[in-house]
Amino acid sequence: MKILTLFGYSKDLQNQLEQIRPRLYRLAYSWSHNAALADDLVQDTLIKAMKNANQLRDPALINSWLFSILANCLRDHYRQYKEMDDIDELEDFHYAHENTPENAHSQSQIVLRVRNAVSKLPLGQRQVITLVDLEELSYIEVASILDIPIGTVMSRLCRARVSMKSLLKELAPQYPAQAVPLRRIK
Amino acid sequence: MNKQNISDEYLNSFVDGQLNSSEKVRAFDLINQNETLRDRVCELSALKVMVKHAYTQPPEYARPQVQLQRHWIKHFQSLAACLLLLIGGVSGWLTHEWLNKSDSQNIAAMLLTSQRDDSIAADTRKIILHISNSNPARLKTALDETEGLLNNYRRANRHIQVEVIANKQGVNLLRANLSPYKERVSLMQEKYPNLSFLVCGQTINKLRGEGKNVELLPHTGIASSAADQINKRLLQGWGYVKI
Repeated sequence: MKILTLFGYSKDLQNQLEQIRPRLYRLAYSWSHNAALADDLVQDTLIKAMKNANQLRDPALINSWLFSILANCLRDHYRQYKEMDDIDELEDFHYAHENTPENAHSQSQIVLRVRNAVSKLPLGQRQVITLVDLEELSYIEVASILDIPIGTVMSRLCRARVSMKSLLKELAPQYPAQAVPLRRIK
Repeated sequence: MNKQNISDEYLNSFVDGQLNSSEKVRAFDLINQNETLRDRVCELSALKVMVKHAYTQPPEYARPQVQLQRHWIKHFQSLAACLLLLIGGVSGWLTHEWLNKSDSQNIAAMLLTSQRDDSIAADTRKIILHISNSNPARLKTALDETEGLLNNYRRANRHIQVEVIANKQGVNLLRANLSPYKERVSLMQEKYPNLSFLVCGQTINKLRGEGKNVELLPHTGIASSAADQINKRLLQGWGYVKI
């Protein structure tokens, strides 16, 4: 165990962290699609940021720095807690009928459809597409945050968008074909 | 570049504004000349806008309100101590001869001490330990280190205030039905008045939301959230240790 002594902590950093917190949460949510987990990840990110504040050499790069901490936190989380299937949920899933009115309604909402589609992407593609589309970061910045080559960023983004297109079609509500009205010919 | 053979990567770079100005001009020319390309660009742009729109307002996670159990206990203890001292003082005054001036000063000083919220002197070393893991070996290490730290300071006759905050799986250390070191924690609390244990209110609420019965060990405080508590302590100049 390392005992860390007191470290320098500036009020400016505190303000900056407070300002960026909603963006971090949005990104964490878009990666995990779990509000509680996203909140935990943001907390861990902020704690790590405060702890390692001295590692931030250029304050202008604080956003990228925090996003990369967030990506590491998520990776650590998945490493530590491998997902397991809950037997009760599996049973519910098998017995529940998908075509409920609530489900049909929610499926028709574009926001939920897009979130659903993003959640079905592999994590690597999900991270790239959200960093590019939500945070409007350049490919170079994304490559540096996720610690991957820029070519991988481009190919993941490309695959993510191709998958998104087909997923959005799949998730679109299926309306029954309109019945041809009967006409009476006298 | 052959306009029939424009890759998706190229179009993505165009939509995301990653092309330099000369490449962008060329891309505009190609797109203007080819309707299929135009459709592909429109589709990609629409997708980009949709993804951004989908997360404009992510669902908020309800943060639990601050629970002041610990503070209440502390105030109750102070009040009880004051009352006892007062009763002792009054009975002494009634049964013995009039107190001289120095005695009354002593009692006043004792009363003042007992009324203080805590007795942390300015030169006291303050450390917050963060536990987020339920691995018994880690928990044991945390307790060993804490005890070692407190013992060393006590031996050196120096002041130290230690606060242990647990969140995530770490709260198991302080859960009455799950803690592997229940007795040790209470012994340490008795032995070291300058040691306090806190749990993250958010984790507790999450567990309760999952229908789990959460019963904490006696004298365990609940902070609004681990991050807030750690942040608060860091701002107050405490040292931070993650175990």
